Amino acid sequence: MFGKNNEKKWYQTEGSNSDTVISTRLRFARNLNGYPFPHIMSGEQKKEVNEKVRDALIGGNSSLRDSFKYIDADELTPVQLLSMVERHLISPEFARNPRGGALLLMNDESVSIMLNEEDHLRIQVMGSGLELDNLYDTADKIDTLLDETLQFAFDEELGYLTACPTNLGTGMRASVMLHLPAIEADGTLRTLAAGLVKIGATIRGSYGEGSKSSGSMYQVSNQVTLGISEKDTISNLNEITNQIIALEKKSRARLLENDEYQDKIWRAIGIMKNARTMDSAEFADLYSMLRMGVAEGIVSGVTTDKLSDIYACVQPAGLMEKFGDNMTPQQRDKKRADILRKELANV
Amino acid sequence: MLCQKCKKNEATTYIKTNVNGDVHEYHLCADCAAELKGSGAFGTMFDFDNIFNPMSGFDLVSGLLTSPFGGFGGMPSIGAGKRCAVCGSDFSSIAKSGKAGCPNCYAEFKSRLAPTIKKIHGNTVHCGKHSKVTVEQSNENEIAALKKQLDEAVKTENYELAAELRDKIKAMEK
Ligand SMILES: [Zn+2]
Ligand SMILES: [Zn+2]
Repeated sequence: MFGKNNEKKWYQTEGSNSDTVISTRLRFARNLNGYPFPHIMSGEQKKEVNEKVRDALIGGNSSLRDSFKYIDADELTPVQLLSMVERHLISPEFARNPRGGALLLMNDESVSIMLNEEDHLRIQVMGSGLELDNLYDTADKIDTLLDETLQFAFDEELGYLTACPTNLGTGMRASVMLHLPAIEADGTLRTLAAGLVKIGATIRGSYGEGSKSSGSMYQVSNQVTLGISEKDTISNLNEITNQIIALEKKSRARLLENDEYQDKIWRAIGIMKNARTMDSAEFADLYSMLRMGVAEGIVSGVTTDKLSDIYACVQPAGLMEKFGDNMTPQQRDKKRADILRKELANV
Repeated sequence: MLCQKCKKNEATTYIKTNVNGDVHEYHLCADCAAELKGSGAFGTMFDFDNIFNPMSGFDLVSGLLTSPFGGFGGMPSIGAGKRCAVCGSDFSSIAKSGKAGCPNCYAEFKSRLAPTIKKIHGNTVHCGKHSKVTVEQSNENEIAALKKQLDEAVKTENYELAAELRDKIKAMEK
């Protein structure tokens, strides 16, 4: 579970159900007794909490000493912060207000512990397929290790105490990122969403709270955290996800019988293989068509695995991190098109 | 149905607000909802960008507007002015931000927070993983209780019970 430095990043490995499942994430919210929550903490107190957690995880003879690096958020540039949001290592909220925060990042980027975001700790674990159970085991191990030395705020009735009361109880949010072009197109998704409410789940845009969906990417997650155990939450979410996947596959089969729809996929590929400039909104839509074509076996010459890799590469901050912080949007759009022509040459 | 604000796009977001009994309903398109959200008109805590987020409907219908505790924010009540011993927050600052000041606030303002917590999660208690801290604490509490019983047993010269209690305590202290 604990990777070394030059291993593949988690998103570079293909997960189960890769035709519809983009990634899975799970986080625990934890806080330390005796400190205010981050929104009213002093800089000094934040520093103390950062150091306590860092020492608990990678201090002394910890078995994880070489698996994680500690990053002071104050030392990150805006581009680095945005790039981390694109890779889901930190939340948009954390990037907007990094002051006094810190990050404990596992080398393969599959575990990221945000310090002093909304809560003192947000332990996040990420994987590329539908693997909530595995992710839970990893998060649970890290949490238990930290619990040995840290004084977590916990109440018998309210469970783990969190800044916002919506996270009380397990403090756990599990979510699955799904690519749902077909049920989005035929309207099934809308009716489905209403039903999810009743069973304590939610579906929304790809970067979590407050974000819109782009390229038909949706995030399904649990909503209730008090009164339901971690295991039950996960098995509910697995069941819901599998049902959504089944609906999506049925809708895809129906859509793809339609020649016009197939034509859309091929046109998307035509543009991606030839365009000289492409903004990120256009890319998101075309990418969605291409990914579906590859996932359904209509298009060959590239894997969904490789596609995820390309996707991460051409995001705005990802490009700037690689090719220079001072790139203008026009330069980024050109670079994006260059990369796509090169990477999709064999499609 | 068309968006009530721009009257151009299809309304996809339904927002119901309830401020001290003053109820308003809005049907908005995603853009207008996002714009209003950005302006802070509906508070900061909710996600209106997307019709698929049930929390917005849920919380708003419960009348929790600017914060999960917002419904109580403006209400004068007994115990106003009381502050948390650890972080110094009073209830109005918690109501305003929608966040507790520190873990201890949940104990300090227990009865006043309870209705909101019930609205969010239902009438329920935690089930699932426990922190070791409390396992130790509850152990300590139990030992303290047993020691009290032991004193009582010695006082009343119930030596059989005293011996039994002593063994129990010894085992737990290991
Ligand atoms: Zn509108
Ligand atoms: Zn407090």
